[in-house]
Amino acid sequence: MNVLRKEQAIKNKLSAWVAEQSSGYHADSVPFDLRIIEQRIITSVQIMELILFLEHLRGEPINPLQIKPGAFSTIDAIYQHFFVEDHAYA
Amino acid sequence: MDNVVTLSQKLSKASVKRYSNPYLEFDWPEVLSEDSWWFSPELSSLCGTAVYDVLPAEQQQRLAFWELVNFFSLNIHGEKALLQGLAKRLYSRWPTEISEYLHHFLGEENKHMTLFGTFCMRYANKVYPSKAYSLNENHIQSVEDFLFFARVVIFEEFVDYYNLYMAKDERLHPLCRAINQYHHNDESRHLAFGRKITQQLFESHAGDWGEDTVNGIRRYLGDYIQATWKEYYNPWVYKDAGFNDFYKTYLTAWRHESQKQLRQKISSHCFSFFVTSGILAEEPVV
Repeated sequence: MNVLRKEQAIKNKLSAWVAEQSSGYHADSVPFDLRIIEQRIITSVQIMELILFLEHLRGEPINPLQIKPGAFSTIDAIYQHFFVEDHAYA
Repeated sequence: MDNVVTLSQKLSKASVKRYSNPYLEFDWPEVLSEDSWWFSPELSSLCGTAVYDVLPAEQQQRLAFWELVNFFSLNIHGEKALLQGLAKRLYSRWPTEISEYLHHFLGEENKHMTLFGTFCMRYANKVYPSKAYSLNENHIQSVEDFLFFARVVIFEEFVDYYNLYMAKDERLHPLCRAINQYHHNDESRHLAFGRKITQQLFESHAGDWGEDTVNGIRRYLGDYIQATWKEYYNPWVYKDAGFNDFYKTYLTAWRHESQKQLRQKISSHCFSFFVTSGILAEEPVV
C-alpha cells in the first residue's frame, strides 16, 4: 500500500471510530481537521479508549506519559503524531 | 472539619499500633509455580465470556497471572497519583492532626507500591503502563480537594473488593493472598478517612459551588468511574496470556453482559456511599 493510500485508510478508520463514539456523525462524515477535543466530541474517558484503538492500529503499546499536548486535537494531528512522527511512544 | 480531626487522631493511633515492615514480612520465591492460581477466576476480566469458558485450565491460570500483574500495575499508578495528592495537602489548609494522619497514609501507600512493584518486576519484568490521559481541567481549590478525595475513595473501594476476595481465596498462591491481605489491612483505614473527608468537603462547599459546578462534578466522577474500570481490561494482558486477537478480546470482555454485572456488583458499596451522601444523584451504570 503506498503512503497516501495508507494515510487515507488510517484516517478513515479514525474517522469511523470517532463517529462511533459520537451520535452526531456518520462513519465517513467526520472532517479530518475537526477539533474533536475542543468541541467536546471526545471526552477524557474516550481518549483512554482511543489510545487502546491506536495501539491496535499500530500493533504496539503507547505510553501516555510520552504523548505531546495537542496530539489528539484532530484526526490529522492524531495521524501525524502516532503514524508519521518518530516519537518514542512505546 | 472537627469530625475529620477526631477520626484522624483515631486512625493515626491505629496506624502506629499496626506499623509493619513489608521488607521483613514477605518471602519472595526465586521462581513462581506455573500451575498456581494467581487471580480468582470469578474476578477475571474474561469470566462469563464464551472465550473464557473454553480455555484449558492451564491457559486460565496463565491469564490469571497476567491479570494479577495488571491489577498490581493499576494499583501502582493509582497510588502514585495518591501520593502526589496527599503530599500536596500536607500542612496546608487543615488542622495539624489531619497532616499527622496523612503522613501515615503516605507511608503505608508507599509500602504497598513497593510490594506491587517488587512482584511485577521480579516475576513479570514489567509494570503495565496506565492508559489514563488527563485533559487539562482547572478547578477552584475546594473542588480540587473534593475531587481528589472522591477519586481516592472510588479507586480504593474497587481495589479493596479484589484484595479482600483474593486474600480469602484458598485456591490462590500464598504470596498472592498475603499481598492482598496486607493491602486490605491498611486500606480499611484509608477508606474510612477518605469517605469522611469526601463527605465533609462536599457538605461544607456544595452550597457555594452552585448547580452548574455540582452537575460538572457529577459528570466528572461518572467519567472517572468509567476510566477506573477500563484499567481492569487491558489488551496487552490478553496478548501476554497467549490470545491472538487481543484487541477484539478486550472489546468482547468490556462489552460482555456478565462483566457489566460484575462491575456493577463490585461498585455497589462505593456507589451507595456517593448516593447516600448526596454527591451523586443516582448510581452510575458501569
